[in-house]
Amino acid sequence: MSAHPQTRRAGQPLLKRAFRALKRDRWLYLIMLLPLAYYLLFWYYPMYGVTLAFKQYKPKLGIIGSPWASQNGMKYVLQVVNDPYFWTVFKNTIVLNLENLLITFPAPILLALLLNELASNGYKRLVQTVTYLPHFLSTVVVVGMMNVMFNSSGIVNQAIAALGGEKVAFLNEARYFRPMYIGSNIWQGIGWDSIIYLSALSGLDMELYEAARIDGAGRWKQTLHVTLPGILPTIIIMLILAMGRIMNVSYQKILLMMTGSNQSVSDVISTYVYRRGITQADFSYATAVNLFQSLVSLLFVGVTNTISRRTSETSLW
Amino acid sequence: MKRNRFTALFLAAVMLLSLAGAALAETPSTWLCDELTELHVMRDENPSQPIKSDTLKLKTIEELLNVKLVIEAPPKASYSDKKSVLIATDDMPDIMYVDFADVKAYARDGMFVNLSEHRDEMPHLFALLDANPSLSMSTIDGQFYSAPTLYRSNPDTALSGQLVNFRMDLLKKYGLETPTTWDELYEVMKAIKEKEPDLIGMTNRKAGNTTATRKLLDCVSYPLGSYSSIYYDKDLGGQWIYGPAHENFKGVLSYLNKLWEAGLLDPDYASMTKDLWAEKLSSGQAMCTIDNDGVVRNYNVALSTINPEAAFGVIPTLQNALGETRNIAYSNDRPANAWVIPSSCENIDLAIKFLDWCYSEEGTDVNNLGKEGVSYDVVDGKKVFKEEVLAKYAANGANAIYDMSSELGIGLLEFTPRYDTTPDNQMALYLQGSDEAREAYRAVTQAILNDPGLVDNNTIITAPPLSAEETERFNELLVAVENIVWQEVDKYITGQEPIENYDKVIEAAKAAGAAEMEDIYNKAWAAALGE
Amino acid sequence: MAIREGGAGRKAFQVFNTVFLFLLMLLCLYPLYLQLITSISHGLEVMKGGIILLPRNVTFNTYTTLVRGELFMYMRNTIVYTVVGTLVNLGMSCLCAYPLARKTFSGRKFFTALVTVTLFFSGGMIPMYLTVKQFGLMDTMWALILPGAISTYNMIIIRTAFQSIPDSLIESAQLDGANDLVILARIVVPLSKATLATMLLFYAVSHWNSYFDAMLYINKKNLYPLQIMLRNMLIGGLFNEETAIAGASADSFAVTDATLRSAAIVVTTLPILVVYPFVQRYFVKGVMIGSVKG
Repeated sequence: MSAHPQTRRAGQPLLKRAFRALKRDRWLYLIMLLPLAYYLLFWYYPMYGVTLAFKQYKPKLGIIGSPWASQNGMKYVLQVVNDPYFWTVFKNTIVLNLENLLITFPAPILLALLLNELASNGYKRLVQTVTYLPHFLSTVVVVGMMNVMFNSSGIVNQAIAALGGEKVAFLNEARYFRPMYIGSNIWQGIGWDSIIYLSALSGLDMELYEAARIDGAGRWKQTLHVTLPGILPTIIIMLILAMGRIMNVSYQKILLMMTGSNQSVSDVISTYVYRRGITQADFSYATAVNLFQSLVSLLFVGVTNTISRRTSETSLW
Repeated sequence: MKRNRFTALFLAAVMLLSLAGAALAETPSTWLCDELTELHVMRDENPSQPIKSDTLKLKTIEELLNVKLVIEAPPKASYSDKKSVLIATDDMPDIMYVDFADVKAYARDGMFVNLSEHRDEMPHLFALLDANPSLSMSTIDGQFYSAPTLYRSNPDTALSGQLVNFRMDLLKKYGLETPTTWDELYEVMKAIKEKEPDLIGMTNRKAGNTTATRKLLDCVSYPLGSYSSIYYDKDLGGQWIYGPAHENFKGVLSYLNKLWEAGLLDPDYASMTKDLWAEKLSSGQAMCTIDNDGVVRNYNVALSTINPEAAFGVIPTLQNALGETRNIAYSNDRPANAWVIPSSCENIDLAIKFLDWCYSEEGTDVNNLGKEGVSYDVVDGKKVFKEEVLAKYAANGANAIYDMSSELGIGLLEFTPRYDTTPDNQMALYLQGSDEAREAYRAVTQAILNDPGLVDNNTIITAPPLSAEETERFNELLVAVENIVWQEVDKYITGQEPIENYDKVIEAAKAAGAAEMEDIYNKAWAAALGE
Repeated sequence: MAIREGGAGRKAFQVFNTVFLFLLMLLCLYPLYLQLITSISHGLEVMKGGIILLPRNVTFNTYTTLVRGELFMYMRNTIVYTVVGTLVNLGMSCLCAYPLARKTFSGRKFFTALVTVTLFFSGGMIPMYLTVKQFGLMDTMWALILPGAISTYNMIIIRTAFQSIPDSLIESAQLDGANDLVILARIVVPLSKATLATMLLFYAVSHWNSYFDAMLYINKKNLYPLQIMLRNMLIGGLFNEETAIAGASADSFAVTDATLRSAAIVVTTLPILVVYPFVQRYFVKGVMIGSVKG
C-alpha cells in the first residue's frame, strides 16, 4: 500500500495534484469508466434500499416516501437485537460457519496438492473433472441422497449393524447435525473449490523447483517451501473472501435437514428469518437483519484483512 | 397465379361484407367490452400442469367476452418470492393470485381494490359470499379486498383429507377387525407387527419447509383431541386454543409414545422425507399413514406389483380416548387462496366484470369444463366430458388429468377462481376401466363423503379477522411460542422425557404468549360473530 | 509435473495418493450416475426405492417426455445467456481488475473502497427490481446479464492474479509507448490465462445454474432459462397435493415426477460439464512467470 511518491509531494495545491494524477493515469481512469458506471448504476443507485430497515414500508409510497418506523425508526433494529432467540440463531450461525470453514477451507487445498503430486497427467485431469461433478447437484438432491444413505435402514446403518454396532440416528440427533452438514459440504464442494488452487499451482515458477532441487530439497520440502508459498496469496484472498460470507448460510439446505431434535443447533439466522417471513412478509425486518449481518461480516473481513496485511503482502484493500 | 388473385378478391369481398355486418350487428350481449381487450392475470404454474396460451378455455373466453386473457404463470417453486416482490413494488398484473396473508399484510395500505365497494358490479361473487357467512372471515375491517377460491358443488363431488390410510389386505390376511378407535388401531398394528416384525406401523413424511415431526402432528393431533397450532375446538366449548399449550396435547404425545415404545412408529419419523415416505408406502414397508388419502392411493399401483392383494384403504374416522370422533377434511372452499385486483390496475372496471364472470355459472363451466359441444356435453342435466376427450388423455395414465387440464386450460391449477371437481373425478372414473371398478371407486368416495366424523378444515383453522396491530402481535408471539414447543415435542414422543414433564413446556409456551394468542383470536372471533 | 525421484516412501505415497483419489472419484461420480440410472428406470421401481447400482425395467420415455416439453427452447435460452453473460462478465471484470491491480494508480484506494463496499452492502430486492424496471430491462436478456456484470468476488481473484505480474514488465511496455488498454490486452490478459479460464468457468456455471433473476425479471415463458423448469420439477413434488387422483395402471407410472426430475438433472448437467476440459487446457505449468523470465 505504498502511496505513489508524487502524491506525497507536499506544498502542491490539492487541485493541481489531482489534475496531474488524472492526466498521468488517464488511461486507467478511462478503463475504469465502464466498471464504475456499472457499480454506480447497479449497486450504489439502489443502495437507498438499506433505509428500509428503518422504515414502515408502504409500497404505494416507495421506500423513500415511506414513513420512518416507530421508535425513531429503530423499531425493526430493536426487534432484532432485543429478541433473545435471535442471539441463539446468531451464535448457531457463527459456530456452524466457523466449523464449516475450518474443515471445508483446507480440504480443496489439500486436494489440489494431492492432484499436483500425481505422475500421470491424464489421470489427474480425470480426477479433476469427476470430483467437480457434485457441485452441479442441487441441495434438494444432495439432502435427499443423504436421507437415503443415513436413515435407520440405510446403507450406513446397515453396515454399522453388520459390524455389531448400535444404529445411529444421524439425521435426527443434534450432535450429528454439524458433522452431516459439513461432511456433505466438503463432498459437494471439494472438487469445485480446488479448481482455483489448481489454476494458481499452474502459475508457479518451474525455476523455483529447479533451484530447490539443486539445494537438495525432497518433494515434501519442495511442497512446503515452494508450492505453498507460491499459492499463499490465492489462499489468503480466498480466506478473506470466505470470511465475508461468515454470516451467510443458505436456508434451503438447513430447512431440509432440520428436525425438532436438532433445531437447537441447526436453526440459523436465515432459517429464522425465513420462518418469520412465512407469517408476515416483513421486508423491513429482513433488511435490518441483513444490515446486522453485513456489519458482522465486515468486522470479520476487516480483522482477517488486517492480520493478513501485517503478516503477508496480500490483502483485500 | 390466377387462382391466387381470385382468392384475394374473394377474401376482400368477405372482409368487406363482414365489416359491414359487424357495423350493422350489435355487440354480442355477452361481451364485456366493445374492443378486444387484453387482461393480464397471474398465478403459479404447477409442474404437473403447464399453463398454455392457446387453450380452448382462452378461445372460449375471447369469443364470449371479447376479452383476451393473458395468463402469466411463474413456476410454483418461486411464486411466493415473485409475488411478494410484485406486491412490494406495486407492479402487479390486472388480477393476481395471492395468499390471504398477503391481503392481510397489504390491503390496509390500499394496494388492492376494495371489492365490497363494487358489490353491485359483482353480483355473482357477492351472491356466493353472502350465502356463506363463514367467508366473512376473509374480510379486512369488514371489507372484501380479495375474492376467495370457491367451490361449486357438483354431482362428482369428492372429499379428501388427512385420513387414516391402512393396508386393508393385512387386516384380512390376519383376520382382524377394522379398528373403530385409536386404541384399537394400536392393538391391530401390534397384532400385525407380531406376525411381521419387519413392518413399520405408522409412517409419515415431511411437507414443505416444516419438520417431519410437525407434519406428523398436523395430521394426527386433531383426531386425537388437540391440534398442532391455534385452532377452533368445537368440542372444548367452542373456543380458539393453541393446541400444544393444552392438556389434551399430552394425550397426543402419549399415544405416539405408546406407538414408539411398541416399535410401531417409524424409527425415522422425525427425519422422514416425502420420497422416503413414498418408498415405504409403495414397497409395502408400512401398515399405516395418516395423510392425504388421494396421494396415498397413488402408491397402491406400485404396491400391487409386489402383491396384487396389497392396497391402502381409508378407515372411517376413529374415536379417540376423549370419546370424540373427528378428523380433518380438506375444505373445498379455499379462502386462503385468493384473487385480487391491484388498485394500480389500469382497467379496473373490466377486471371487476371479468373476475365476477368467473364466479357465474357460465364462467365456472368454461373454467372447469371448456366449451359445451366441444369438450363436454350436457346429458340429462349433468355436464359430462366427451368420451373421446377423456380417451385421448387417458392414455397418459397418471398424468391424464393434468394433461387434459393443461391442454384445455381448465381446473383448479389454472386461472379458475371458482372450481369444481368434475374433470378430476370424471377422469378418475374413466381410468377405472370396468364398471365394477367404477362402482368400487364410487363406493370409496361416497364412504368418505358420508363419514360424519370429518370436519371441514376451514371451520378449524380459518382465523377471525384481526386488526393490523393484532396481526403483528399475534405473528410475533406465534414465532416465539413455536420456537419453544417444537424443540421439545420429540423428547416426549421418544420417551426421553416422561409425559408429566410436558407441563413445563405448557407453562413455557403460555409464558411466551400462547395464552395471549388465544385471547386475541377469541376476542376477534366474538367481535366477528357479533357483527 | 512428472518428477520421479525419492525412495520407497515416495512410492508408497504415490500408491496411496492414486488409490485415495480413485475412491474420492467414485464417491463424486456416484450421485450423478444414480440420477442417470434413475432417469432410465421405470417410475414404479423408482417409487419403490432400492435402485442402487443398476437401472430397473429400463425405459427412455422420460427423455421423450422431457423433449416433448419445451426443453430445447429453454436450453437454447440458457446457452445464449451463458455465452453472452460470461463474455460480458470477463470483459468487465478485467477492465475493473486491471486499474485496481496497478499499485501506482492514483484512484486505487478510492475505487477499491467503492468496490469492496458492495461485498457487504446492497440495496436489496425491491430497489433492484425497480432499477431493472426503470432501465427498461424487464423481459430482456439484459436483465439477466447487466445487474450481475461483475461479481466482486471473482473480480478480486482476477485482481490478485494481475497483481502477481511483475511491474517491470508493465513499465517496460510503457516505455515502448503502449497505453494501458494495450498493456491489458497484450500482456496482462495473456499472462493470466489460467486464472481467467477459471473465472470463465465460474461465471459460466453461475449463469448456467441461475434462476432467481430470471424468476424476478422475466415474465415471458419463451425467455425462461432451463433452470426455472428444473427447479420447478425439483420442488414441485411427486404428486400434486391438490388434485391427486387414483386408478391408473402400472404402465401409466412409467414416467413419474421422480424419474423426470432425474432426467432433467442429467440434461441440465451434462452440457456444462464439457466446459471444464476446455478450461483445463490453460492449466499448463509455467505459462506465466517462467516463460517471461526465460
